[in-house]
Amino acid sequence: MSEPGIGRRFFLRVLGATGVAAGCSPAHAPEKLIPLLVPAENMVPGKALFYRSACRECSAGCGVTARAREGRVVKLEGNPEEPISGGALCARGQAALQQLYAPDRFRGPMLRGPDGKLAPVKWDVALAKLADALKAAAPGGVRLRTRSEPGSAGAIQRAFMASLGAAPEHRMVTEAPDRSALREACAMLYGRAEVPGYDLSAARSVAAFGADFAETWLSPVELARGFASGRGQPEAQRTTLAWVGPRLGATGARADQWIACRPGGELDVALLLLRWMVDPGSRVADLSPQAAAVRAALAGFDPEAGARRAGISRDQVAALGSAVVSRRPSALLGSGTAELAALLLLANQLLGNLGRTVLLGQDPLLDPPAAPARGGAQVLLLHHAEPAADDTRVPLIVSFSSRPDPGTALAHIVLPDHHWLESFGDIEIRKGVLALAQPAMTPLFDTRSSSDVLLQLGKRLGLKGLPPGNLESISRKRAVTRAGELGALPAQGERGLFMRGAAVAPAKHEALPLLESALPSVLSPKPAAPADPALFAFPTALGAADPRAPSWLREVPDAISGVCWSSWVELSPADAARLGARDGDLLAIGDAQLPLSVYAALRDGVVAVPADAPELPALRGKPLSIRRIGPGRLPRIPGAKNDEGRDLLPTGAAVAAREEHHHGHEHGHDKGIGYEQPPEEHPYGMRPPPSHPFHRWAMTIDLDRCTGCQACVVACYAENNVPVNGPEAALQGRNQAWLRIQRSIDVAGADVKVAFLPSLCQQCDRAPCEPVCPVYATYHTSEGLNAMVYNRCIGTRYCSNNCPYDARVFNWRDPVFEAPLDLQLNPDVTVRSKGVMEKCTFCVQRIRSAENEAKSERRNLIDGEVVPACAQTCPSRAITFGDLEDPAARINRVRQDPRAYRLLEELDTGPAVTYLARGGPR
Amino acid sequence: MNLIRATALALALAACARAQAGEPDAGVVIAPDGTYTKFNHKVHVTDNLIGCSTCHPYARHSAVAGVASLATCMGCHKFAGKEKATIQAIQAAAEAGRPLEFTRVFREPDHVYFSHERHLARGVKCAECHGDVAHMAQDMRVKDMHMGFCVECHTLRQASVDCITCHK
Repeated sequence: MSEPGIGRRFFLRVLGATGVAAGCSPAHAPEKLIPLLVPAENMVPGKALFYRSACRECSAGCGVTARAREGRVVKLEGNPEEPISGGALCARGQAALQQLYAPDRFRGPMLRGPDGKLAPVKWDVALAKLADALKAAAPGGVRLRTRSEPGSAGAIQRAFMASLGAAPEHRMVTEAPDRSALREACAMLYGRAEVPGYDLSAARSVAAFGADFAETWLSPVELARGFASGRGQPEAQRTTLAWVGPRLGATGARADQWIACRPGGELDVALLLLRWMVDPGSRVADLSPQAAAVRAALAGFDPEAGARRAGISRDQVAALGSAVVSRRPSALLGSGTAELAALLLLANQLLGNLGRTVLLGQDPLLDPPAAPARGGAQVLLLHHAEPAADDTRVPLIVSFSSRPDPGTALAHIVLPDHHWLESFGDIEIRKGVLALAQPAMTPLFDTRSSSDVLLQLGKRLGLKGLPPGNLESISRKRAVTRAGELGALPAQGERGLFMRGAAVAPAKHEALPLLESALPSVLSPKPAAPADPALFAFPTALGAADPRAPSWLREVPDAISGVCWSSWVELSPADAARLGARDGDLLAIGDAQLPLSVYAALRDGVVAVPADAPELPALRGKPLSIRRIGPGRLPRIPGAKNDEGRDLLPTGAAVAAREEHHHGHEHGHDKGIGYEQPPEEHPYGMRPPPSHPFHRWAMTIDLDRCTGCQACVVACYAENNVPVNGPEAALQGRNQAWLRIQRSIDVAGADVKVAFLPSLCQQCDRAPCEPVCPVYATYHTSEGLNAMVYNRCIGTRYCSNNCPYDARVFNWRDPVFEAPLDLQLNPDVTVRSKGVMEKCTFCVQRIRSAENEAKSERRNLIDGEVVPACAQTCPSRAITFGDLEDPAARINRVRQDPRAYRLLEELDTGPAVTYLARGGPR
Repeated sequence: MNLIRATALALALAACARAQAGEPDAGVVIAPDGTYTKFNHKVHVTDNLIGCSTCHPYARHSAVAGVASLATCMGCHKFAGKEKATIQAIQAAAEAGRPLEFTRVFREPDHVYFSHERHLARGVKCAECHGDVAHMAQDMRVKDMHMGFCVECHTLRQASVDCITCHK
């Protein structure tokens, strides 16, 4: 220091004093302890409690295990006792927590005042107003628009409506996502409108006709798990996937064959496939007896015209056909329209897949959607359903939504429902799989379960025929009765049932006879004339384009485009060049303006927009005039841009070739290395080998199983208090994810290969980040973790600069968790502040808690006891975690796979993450 | 540069003073009616032989020790000390079903993971960290629970001094 007055010591002393001052500031912690009046029987502060529940974010109905700390739910996992989730959850299931703690949730009942605004009101007042309206309504003037409720809630609704004198069609049931195409198809072919079940674990080949079964289609967790169980196998046993559709989404990206038909051309591809199968020239053996009838019904179909309409070649169909024929049982999935679904069901029947991969008799038909009643509504109740266009004319609209939505925008009265984590419930989506919900926490706000509201209204109006009790007693009784019927009531009775959260006695396949009389009409659908350019709406696993999606789903970039916090439009490179537009430019399409993301795995002549984009309805049914406006602002997280040419994603064949190469060299001793090894006397380069006396935590990620669904990324956000940075940061290419799905899009002539690489801290043995930290904030632990001590970090960012894997993220600002989202924060993980570097540590808090438990029980850790959040929630079970020092650990076997390689091994960092290369031709 | 030196120090002290002014007194019980009293550990532990885990029941099973629930207080104070105004305030709180509030004496910051369970299992006595609370008529923070204090003991007992054992 040049100033004589301030020496180094004095400076540090002042720094120290201010540090203490900041440290004793009362703003940082609650300084008051407020104990409970009476201690809760089973709650121990500092220890987690687990509750079983059932997810209602989509119509799949996964079982859930909710982890609660000090009376609030902090993390969701699947329920391993329940076969639909199988213990995993998708990205939206993980983000259900942010629906529970959504800052815009209604705090209590609301009434629209004379000024046209919703204002808080007491329950009594709101209920009295609604009761008066119901009393005044003419018989049949009350309508209930609801989501499908296959359980007590639906039974209560039906009883309520019946006691008001309403006809069954006055209760209008909807489903999201809509499964009516599958129902219609089953009705056409088998005379029963039901949703079939699919068991992809039995399939040796899968053909998906636009069915993104790993993202949103039907039951993504269950289907992704089933499909992945056949991946990562040697080629002969490996389940193959063919994707039929104009765009490779995340599910399609892992396909072995891509038939890039026009939007809507899936129907013609299905017809061509059926025709190929029944054509004697194809020599397909063992078709079901209906083949002759199908051949006769297809006599009038012109395959050349079909192929032209779909924009594909007939050779592609033959290749698809030989895959699903030679690798049986196969599964053909798709439900874009009822016609398509029927053709695919028929193809499954011909191939003998029914009863093996496609199961009938799986739908309990408890609350199927039905044709809605039109007109005459005086009171409309909205229960988790969107209003229809002509609903605006109804004199009184009541919404049970707990967050603002299109229904509450119209509603005169809002009676907010509990979140499903705050409520009892029972749902049976699949016959014989009863998922039970119990409150995992006391309701956050002054809300009431809508079922209870209906029962209370019934009491006020003196209605006859309503079941006695409330939702809790009705649901509990029904659960025990139904479990008894299924023969799945555990020995501990009701208590055991709710602890398990499910009663499971899966229904067997029911062989329904095919209605041959329907074949002529099923096999002569009316394909639409191809449009050019054609609009294509694709579903996404997250919600970047959806303004109402929880912030995790908006922040986590789309697996394919990398876009977050915005809707966007995709064009193929050729179409973009024709417009003179570049990636990120703003385009005008009709009346809408959307930023452009150029995507190579999109058919030319297709304008692709996410299905949840608010701009989509304005684009439908109009000619698509596109023009470039100018440079735009497209928030996106670049995929693997910096990693191009670094060979991060070799195919299994390439790994095997490398292996071959280094076995040819005498001195090679490690896996997957195509470079000169350091001499033996310095096997570890500059630094001594680290010692791991007890554990060496490590991970393997099977890239043949990974579908890029991003459930792991959202789980990581939830578990590790990863802050949401928002669109402005994303415009700078920043987000805070510890785990990201890198995508690589490889254009090789006409073929485009899309691959995913889940990328996280590699917990290197000789981590480049460690020696450059001036304050020892990051170091190698004796258990092999590359640890971060957040309160030591002074934010030099040297570590990030030195990390070859780009695994570290920096807090450029203080994190914001808008209340009550802060209630979700995991108390076992600190919240990092501005100026601090952060990254994945293999969920060290979970390792610590498992070690603590093992110590208390005086035993060693058991393999599989420690599971990081990402591995826990992976629907495909692509991630294996374990201790390399435990010779019996599963991970030691998995690492022996010939597809194993490590990232940038030539840098000699010694990563603890091993990747298993993807298989197949693509 | 004495001026700079003095200003810096003054600023630091002012920051400290402001922080301390806003801090409530440690070891105080506040009744719902706003009246408060110093909690007397000596009377409870030494004079009446009530063990620590009666009122801090979770210490042996969890990271958190816990504070007495009002039901625990009323276990004795339904009868004991009925004539005192402070006890009457507690009884009134119980009748009204409103909780008491305690002001904190010890607090580890958010980035520290500390488990009472692990320390008690290892045979560490409460007083080693909290001081001789049993004889305190008024609670005092006699030990500064800073990192040096922890590491000293961890080194002596050959416990882990790995950073992430305690830092989260």
